[in-house]
Amino acid sequence: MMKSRRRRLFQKHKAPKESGQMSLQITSMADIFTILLVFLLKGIASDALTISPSNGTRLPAGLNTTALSEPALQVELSEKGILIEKEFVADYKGFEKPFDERLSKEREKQKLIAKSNDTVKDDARAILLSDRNVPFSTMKTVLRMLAKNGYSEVKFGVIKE
Amino acid sequence: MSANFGSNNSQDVDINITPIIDCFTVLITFLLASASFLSIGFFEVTTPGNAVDAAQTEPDTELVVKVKANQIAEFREKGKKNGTLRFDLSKPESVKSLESELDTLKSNEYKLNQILVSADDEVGFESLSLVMGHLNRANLPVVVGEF
Repeated sequence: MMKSRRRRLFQKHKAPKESGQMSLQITSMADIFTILLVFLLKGIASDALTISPSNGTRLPAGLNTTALSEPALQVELSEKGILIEKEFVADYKGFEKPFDERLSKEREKQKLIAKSNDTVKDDARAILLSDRNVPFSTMKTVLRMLAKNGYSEVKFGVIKE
Repeated sequence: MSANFGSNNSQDVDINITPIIDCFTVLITFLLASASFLSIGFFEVTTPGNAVDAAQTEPDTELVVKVKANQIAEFREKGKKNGTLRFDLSKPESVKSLESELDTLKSNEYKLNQILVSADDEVGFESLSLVMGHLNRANLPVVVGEF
């Protein structure tokens, strides 16, 4: 009994056999990954109303901004042209007509939904994500057309400073 | 039959977490690539002819802010207070005087109830957003258009 115990103790402390197999201790890595994963998933879940511009749009920075509470029609003025709901509508040369047509289509769609669903109302809000270099002359035309189609409350998207 | 809870037959059980790590690596890479780290804020504006609330109560003073090139904001005041003021927003002291001017116009004496914002045609959105950021401090409805 005593002998076998001593043997076991001795076996415990003797140098491990050099079998050539190495095992990495990755338990701590798994812990870190789990925390990272939870953090990223939580971020995605809480940012349900995240609006992001397309690749060609560089938003300017702005002070004293507000958060977006509800979704709205997304109009984007990128470097190359105008996008509505991330779909390219027209470039800046003679964009008025296709832009106007697309806006009225969106409005009609909204009215149709509002007719059959009481919870949906006519929404006068639009989100305008404009590139920092877009001139005011273009923005003015876009705003005028938005107002013409019933979008009178516009939110300009900028990067929070 | 007896359950043997003794330590003689104890075995070290290792859970193979390598596939989990593989899954996590793929998932985290995907989430990091698709995540957007930019936080976007918004300026609320109305288009001309739709600022109903502001039109109902006749303001004592009307303020038109014209954004010029080189970060210059021009205040055109009409009504109880008349005049034109220019603020260079690249200078901190000018920004301070713009803010104090807004506070004065907002006071009971002048009762400013909305800000009309316009810009020169060639002025980019970057300059406009800079001016609007300072105007938003007044917490008044902002109307953007041609004035």
